[in-house]
Amino acid sequence: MTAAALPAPAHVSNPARVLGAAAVLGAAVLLVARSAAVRAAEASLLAWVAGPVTGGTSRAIGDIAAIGGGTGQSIGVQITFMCSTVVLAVPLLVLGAVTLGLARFPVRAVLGGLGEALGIVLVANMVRYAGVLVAYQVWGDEGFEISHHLVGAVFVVAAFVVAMMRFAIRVGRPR
Amino acid sequence: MSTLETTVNVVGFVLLVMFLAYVTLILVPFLGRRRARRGLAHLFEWHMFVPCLDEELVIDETLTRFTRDFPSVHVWVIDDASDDATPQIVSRWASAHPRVHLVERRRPDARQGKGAALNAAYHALHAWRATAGDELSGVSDDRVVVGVIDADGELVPGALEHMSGKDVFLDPEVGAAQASVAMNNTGRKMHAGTGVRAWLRNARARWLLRSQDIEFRTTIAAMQTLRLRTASAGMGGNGQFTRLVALDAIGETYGEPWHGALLEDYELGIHTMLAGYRTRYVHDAVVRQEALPAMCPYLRQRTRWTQGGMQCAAYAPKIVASPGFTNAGVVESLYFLSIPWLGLLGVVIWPVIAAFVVTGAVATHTTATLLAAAWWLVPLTMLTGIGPFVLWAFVYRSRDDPDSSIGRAVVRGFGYWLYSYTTYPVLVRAAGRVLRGHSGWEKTARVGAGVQAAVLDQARAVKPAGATARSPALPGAGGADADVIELDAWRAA
Repeated sequence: MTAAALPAPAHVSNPARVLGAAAVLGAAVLLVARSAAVRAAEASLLAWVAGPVTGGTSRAIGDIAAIGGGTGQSIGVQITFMCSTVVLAVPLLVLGAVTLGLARFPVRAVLGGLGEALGIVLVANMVRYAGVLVAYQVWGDEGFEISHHLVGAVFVVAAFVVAMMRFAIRVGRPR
Repeated sequence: MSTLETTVNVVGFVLLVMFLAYVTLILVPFLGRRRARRGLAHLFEWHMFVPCLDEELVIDETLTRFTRDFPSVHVWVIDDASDDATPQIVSRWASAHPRVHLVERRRPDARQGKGAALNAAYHALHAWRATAGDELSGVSDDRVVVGVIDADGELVPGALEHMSGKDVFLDPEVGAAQASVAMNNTGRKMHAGTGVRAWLRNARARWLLRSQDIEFRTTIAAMQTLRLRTASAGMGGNGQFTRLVALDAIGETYGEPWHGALLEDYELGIHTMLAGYRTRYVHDAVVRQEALPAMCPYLRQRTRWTQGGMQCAAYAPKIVASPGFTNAGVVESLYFLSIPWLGLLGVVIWPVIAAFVVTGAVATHTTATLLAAAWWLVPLTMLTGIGPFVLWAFVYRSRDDPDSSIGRAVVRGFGYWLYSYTTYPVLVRAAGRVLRGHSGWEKTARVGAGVQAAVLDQARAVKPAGATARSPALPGAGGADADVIELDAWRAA
């Protein structure tokens, strides 16, 4: 009869971890509080990414990404709060903060997993935005409806699922 | 959109994603599962504990099966002061078969829950082993394994060979293993009679029976298969196997191997891991049990399990701190223990979201514009909300019922989705019981009894405790934690 010889994890989180967890939680709060600025930044990024693909000039006006300037088919898409990466990032940050506060899990694993998850949702949301813009440009309102409400929704749900799984897998790795 | 509406939508979205992430995490390893290698059962000494309370309808057949299919196994039937002929039936068996043992419990020690009954058998086993002499198999102490099976349980031949495998009890680090569970009464006609009423009753029974089988053969089996990778396999009430020395270690630390949580079996698994052992899930070792064909006893059973799950959440700090759990095991265990609470959140969130959607739609749309604006809700709901359940039905079809048609799998999938909504009243009731501090439960009656669940009446004067005739002296279970037995609130409604 033997018990598995595993290193004993710390029972109490040290102050640095608690501070780190508070900082991550603070980042989540900041994202919500400054969501308008975040959405404006997303619109700018989207305009920059989508411009070469959609033709014409592209720019951001606040939280609206406008493309196709000068082509006679200029359109804009507003990034609302519910569509924003904030909605995806905040739950991940909260999860990250809670996990970071538990000394059980290595800091590197938590932060690495959090970084990877945040990267996945950011890229996925950008891809979704770009897809919606292109669909709107090509197929008009119908294209917007299908790409925004259905295809885009499924895509971002799937990406969020992958992000959560990757976080759980990285945090769950052996020390 | 108001702040409240935004918050509720975001929480609902996160709950949905967590659900889908978990389904994906359990489905993938389950689909890629390889059959376990069998070992040599004779390298171990096997003891099956069968707790019984009024099991005269089933215990004779159970003992017939055991003595026929597993002649080398010792069967310990614990009679928990039955009011029927259970002790007489088992006595006859014990007189004729040296490997059938009766552990008789008398009031006031009896009827203190399944855990107390199992502990009685555990002490009886130790007392027997101390004096059995030639009856012992000669294996070393760490090769003695105790299984627990319901009175109506059917251990499928070959199960012990799977339990003896290299990855299971042949590995000295493995302290406990759980067999997979299948229902033995799906497809049975439960109600006699003809006509529409009888047809509806039977259809409802068939739906409930089949859904339970799908649940155990797919979703629960998949959860357990993931736990092979996270080294956190959970123990269930039927088909749990524990090394006797592991039970001893748990007893030394916690007083007794089994305790009073309503989910005492899952608790045993936690204790096994906290004691430094590994747990395993053995899908190819199968135990069959009776599914419940009627909604009231089913809801009562699930409320008991859910309440037990809520109680086990108290172990979270110990799990996090324990070196007996892997990091992945901690993540999985914490998520599993949070499921009832997340579900409770969903009980509040989903109706609120639905209310927001409906009131918003009604306020701003006619029927025609509503259909035009919200058409996407239907495919999205089907894909993310119903799709996973239909997927499980197809997994069930491929693994357990390959002769059934695709159409039947689709119907079963929708049925399984509807079945998932039984969780909501269960969660509410379980939470209510936790808040009120109610923990007593009546035992679910056998389907074969043809009656609704029996109501135990501890308000009647109990008989004085008497000496047990066949079993060694048993420690008193004590009445300090005697629970109030609750009457069947579902029937009273």
